[in-house]
This record gives sequence, C-alpha cells and structure tokens, in this order.
Amino acid sequence: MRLIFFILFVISNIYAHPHFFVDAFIDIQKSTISHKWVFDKMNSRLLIFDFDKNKNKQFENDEQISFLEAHFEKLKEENYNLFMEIDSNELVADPTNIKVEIKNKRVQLSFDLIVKVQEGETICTIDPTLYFAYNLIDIKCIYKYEIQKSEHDYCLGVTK
Amino acid sequence: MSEIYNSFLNTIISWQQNINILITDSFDKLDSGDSTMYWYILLVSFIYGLIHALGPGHGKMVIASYFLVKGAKTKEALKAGFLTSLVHTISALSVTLVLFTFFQNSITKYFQEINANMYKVSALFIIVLALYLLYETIKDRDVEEQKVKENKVKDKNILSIAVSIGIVPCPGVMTIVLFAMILGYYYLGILSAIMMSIGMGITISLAAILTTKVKNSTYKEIYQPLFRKITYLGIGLLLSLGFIIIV
Repeated sequence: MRLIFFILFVISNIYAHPHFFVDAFIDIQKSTISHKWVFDKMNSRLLIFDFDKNKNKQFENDEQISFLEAHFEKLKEENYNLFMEIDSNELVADPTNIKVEIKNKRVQLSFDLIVKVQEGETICTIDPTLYFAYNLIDIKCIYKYEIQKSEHDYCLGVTK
Repeated sequence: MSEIYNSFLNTIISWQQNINILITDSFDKLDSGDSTMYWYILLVSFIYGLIHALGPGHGKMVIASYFLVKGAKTKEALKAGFLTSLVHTISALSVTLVLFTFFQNSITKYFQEINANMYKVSALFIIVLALYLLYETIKDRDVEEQKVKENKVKDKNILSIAVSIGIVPCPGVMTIVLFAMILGYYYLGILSAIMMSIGMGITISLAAILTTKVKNSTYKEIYQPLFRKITYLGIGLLLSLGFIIIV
C-alpha cells in the first residue's frame, strides 16, 4: 500500500517543479502566527516589473491588490499552502494584515493568522504542487517545538 | 523508497535554487560592465538545463513509458529527447515573447494560467497517445514480425510524442528569458534558452535511452512474457499520467 501511495505521489508531481524559491520566516506567539515569505531575487525582479506599475520601487495599495489577486488569493484552494492541525482537526487559514513590500530588491509578503497556539499543534508550510519551494530561514516561537524541514517545505510541532 | 525520492528531490531543488542565485548575480555583474559574464551565463544556463530536467516534470516519465511500450534504437530515443526539449523551449520562448510584447504588467499571472491550461492540453495528447499504443499493441499481439516493428519508431510518432509533452512551456526557460529581457539583454535571453534546451535535451534523452536499453536487453527472448506485461504497464502509466494531470 505504501508503494502505491508513493507511486501516486511521484505521478502527481510529474509535471511539478519549483518556480518561486521563497525564504520563509515564522513567528509563533500565544494567539498569532506571523508568516513572512521573501521571494528569490530573480522572481522578485519579474514581480516588481509586473506589479510596480509606476516604477517607484514600492507597492502602493492598488499594486498590492493586483499582486495578491494574481499570486496569493488563488492559494486559498490549498489553504494558502498552510497546514495546521490540532487534535486531528485541520484548521482553515484566514490571513489578516496582509502586506506586500519591496525590500532590498526582493518582494516580501507578510501576513498573520489569528490562531490559539497550543501543545500538540502542527504547523506546516507546504505547496503540494511544488510551485512554491519554501526554505525556512528563521523561527521565533514562545513555546518549545520540534521541527522537520526540507528544501521545499517545513513542519513544526508545538511541544510546550 | 520515498526517503530516497525525497532526498533526490531536495538535492535537485537545492541545486536549482543555487543556480537561480548564480544567474541573477551574473546578470548583475554583466550590468556592472563585466562582459565575461556573457559566456558564463550561457554555460550556467546549459548546466541549469541539465539539472532542471532532472527534477520532476519535462515528460521524462511519459517518454520513458512510451519507449517501454514501443522499444526503439538509441538514435531514435536521442532524437525524441532532443525534439521534446526543443518543442518545450520553443513553446516557452513564444509565450514569453508574446506576453512581453503585448501583455506587460500581468506576465507572471499569465505564466501560471497558460501553464495550467497547457498541462491539460498535453494530458489530452498523452491519453490519445496511450490509447493509440494500446490499439497497436493489441493489433500486433500475434504478429510474428512484431520484433521488427518494435525496433522501428517512425519520425511521425517521435514528433507526436515530442509535441504531446513539449507543448507545455518550460517555466524555467520562461523565467530566465523574461528576466534577461527586462534587463534589456534580448539576444542573451534567447541564447540562454537555447543552451538550457540543449542541457534539457541531454537529460530527457538519457531517460529515453535507458528505457530502450531495458526494452532491448539481451534477455528479451527469455523474458518475453514479462516484457509483454511491461508494455501494458507502460500504457497504464501513460493513461494514469494523462488522467491525473487533467483531474
């Protein structure tokens, strides 16, 4: 059975390869999880070309909205590439304080999730289509945790 | 086995990320006046093509399944690999050039949409190809000259397989070409795409050649019933691929 699942996983990834290389930062507090995704320099250049319409090297409100429509809102189908689980219940992500900025020539997307963080909670960032490859750079967490990470995703387990 | 696959995937992704950084930095240096970077970017693009096609995608499994069914000479497998890579690159270049010329300010959005739709078109082609192979296999089941037929793949069929897979524009090529164009290096962008195409052609061809070697192994006569099962396995794989991509 495991072999069948493995073959299905390989087949489902058959056309997938990373397009966006994202440096991921996560800050876990008592009732908020803050995510920051920093896009690679090459793709940042393309995204800035695409969305910084007035070429002033910053994203105004309307430019941020266009960016989010094109590259963030469609992730809703995959729960924004976030997987959160507590007591076998999967949590639905509802990002707030969403901001898109240009910092050091790189596009940076940040958002918060209002979630009560507790022992036994699993918090992952993973794109099943592999279009985004998330490389975890930094974690801030007020609780003890265990971590599992690869070159394209990561998972944290809160242990208190 | 999944650990080996994950470890392989991690390595490929890490290499691709490093090359992505290398190319970006090389363009920065070229922009600052270091003209030697021109050749360096072409070399790195070639290596990027080799590695990029090593990861998931680019139809290696489709092409391998096809040759598992048909069997072929090394020359034909090589031709199929390079032709697939060529179509893959031409498709990417065309999409990028059209978007850059007519649809500025929404290019990255269209990249994703075009790719998603082209995957579905490609999947339809793959299903048709699998059904055609199934028809041919059943038709030739009892034919004595099957051995002769198996070793000869027509150019028309090689072109069909190349178009079926290659029609999906390569996102790697699109990104690099667009990046070069935004910086004003139009010719370098196109040359980088050609170098990537050669690199990808080598990797995709290797997948095809390896399969033909298995299919045409010296033990073929002894294991004839097993190879017949492998033929149906190849067709099954192609059909599964097609349906999974469409769904």
